[in-house]
Amino acid sequence: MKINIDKLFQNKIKESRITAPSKLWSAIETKLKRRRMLRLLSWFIGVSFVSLMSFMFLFFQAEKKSTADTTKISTSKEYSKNKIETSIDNKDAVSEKFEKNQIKNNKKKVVNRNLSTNITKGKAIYVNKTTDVKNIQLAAKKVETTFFTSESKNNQHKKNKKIISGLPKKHPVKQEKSFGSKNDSLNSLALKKIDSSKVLNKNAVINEEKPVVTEKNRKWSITPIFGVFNSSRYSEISLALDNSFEDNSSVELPSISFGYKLAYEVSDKLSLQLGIVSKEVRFLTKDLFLTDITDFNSSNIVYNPGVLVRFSTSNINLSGNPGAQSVSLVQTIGYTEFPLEIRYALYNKPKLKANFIVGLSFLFLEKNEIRSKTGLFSERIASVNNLLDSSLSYNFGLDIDYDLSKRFVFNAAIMLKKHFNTYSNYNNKTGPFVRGIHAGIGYKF
Amino acid sequence: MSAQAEIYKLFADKLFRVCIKYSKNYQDAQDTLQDSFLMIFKDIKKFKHKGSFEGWAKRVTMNVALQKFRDKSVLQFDVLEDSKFAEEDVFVDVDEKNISLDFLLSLIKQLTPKYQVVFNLYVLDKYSHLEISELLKISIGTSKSNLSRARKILQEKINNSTKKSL
Repeated sequence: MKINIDKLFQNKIKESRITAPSKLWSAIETKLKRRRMLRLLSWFIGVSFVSLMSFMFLFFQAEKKSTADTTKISTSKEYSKNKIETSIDNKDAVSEKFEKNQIKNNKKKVVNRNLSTNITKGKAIYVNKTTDVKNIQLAAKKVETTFFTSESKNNQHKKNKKIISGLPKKHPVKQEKSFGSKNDSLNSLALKKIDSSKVLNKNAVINEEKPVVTEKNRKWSITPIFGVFNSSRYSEISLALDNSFEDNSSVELPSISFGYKLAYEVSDKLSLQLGIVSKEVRFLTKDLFLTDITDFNSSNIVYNPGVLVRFSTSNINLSGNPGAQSVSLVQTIGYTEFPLEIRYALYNKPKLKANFIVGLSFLFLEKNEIRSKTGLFSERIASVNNLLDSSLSYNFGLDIDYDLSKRFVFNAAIMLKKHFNTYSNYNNKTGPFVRGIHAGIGYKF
Repeated sequence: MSAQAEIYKLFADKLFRVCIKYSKNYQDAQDTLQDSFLMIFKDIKKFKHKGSFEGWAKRVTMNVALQKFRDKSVLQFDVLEDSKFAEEDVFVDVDEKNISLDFLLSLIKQLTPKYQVVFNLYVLDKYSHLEISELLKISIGTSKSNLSRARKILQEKINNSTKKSL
């Protein structure tokens, strides 16, 4: 029988029953999980990198700011110096004016007097005197009077402004070297002026003799933490385990967590912290039975190989056997948590600091077990198939830092963490939330 | 069961058929199917609901299979523009019931890669010559002539095997 070759192939393909290998799905699922993990990990690395870059940026900004402040202080110093210089110059000017008047009034020889002070360069005061020492002496006395009046005002002004810290330790005014021995009176005038100048700078010198020692700012801290907390859900636990457990009461069980957190102080108010924490979330479902009717299939519970019992809401066993044993179901979900949080200081005193914490955690599933628990035994018999390998949590909390010493700080925090993306086939309402405290002693560096 | 598992359950067999036509053996077909599903789940947001999901998934699988095919084979097509020759229908004188699919698939796999791809695309996956030319970046004439050659070779092989069995 002649048949079109295309039809022959098409018909045979249609007729055939080609089935995909059943085991292939588990291989695909494993690869999907690995890919999801990698994606989350790369996301975490990306976020960490961005955070690190932000830290660096903020750190350098803070550094720049501190440099700018130093410049301001320096400018302030200069300003102070200039003020002093101007003050002295003013005094000189007054002196000169007075002298000139004296000269004019007395109609005597011209006195060419030039007092100049260059404090910043450490140069000496040069007083050139030509003649008439007496006149000068007289002038000096009057100048001194004016000088001290103006000086006391200046001192008061400087005290008020508090800009006198950090002035040079010794006023770089050299004394009367340029004066000849024959001009003792003039020397004494110069000395008096310098003495006045010293009085003017008294406060500055005092402040300067006690230089401010700035303590090294330790911005980083690492804290090993240990915590206890309770887990709960907004809706019934039973739904996430099995639909038939809907009416079974569930209670939260206390769990522990431990790990490390690393914090960086961006500013007095703000710090960022990340860490690695191992934690477990535990729930107890009550009023169940272990039945030997094994054809009861749970929607989410996967029993370990060789387990010949099933959780059930009824106490019926196979016919001929006694009633099923009453048990509780303990579900434990273990995570490795990578928190990334911002802390904002609400209260900031030298020793004590209280912070508000907000952030999120990346959670990687480490433990997935279901135990049957009676008064006599507790045995791991199953796991669940609806937990995602990676999930997230929103974190909120309050913590306190109490400085035990310059290096060590006690930290305690109250936290609330809402998990989401926990289950593959349940909405986020069923995701657990945990609340608890953790504490530790941190090391600052 | 997760949504992904549902999708696998629904389409695995259909897509495996596609894979098996373009793979040298069963193991290769499994690998192709696995890669195809990973690609489908990765690109599922790209599905615009313009056609059926099955059609889209098949196209993804086809692309994965062809890529694998390309990676393993050098696809150099005979550039023949004799369309009259290419349009000819080819017949074989056999009893259809006595021929198994495995036998037919084994015959396809004996073809050179260039004929195998064009024959699969046109006859088994019902692509048009225009679609094949776009997919393989060859001319329509080349697609037709390669198909014609493939048909002739298969006809010869089927006839030979029938004679032997007689």
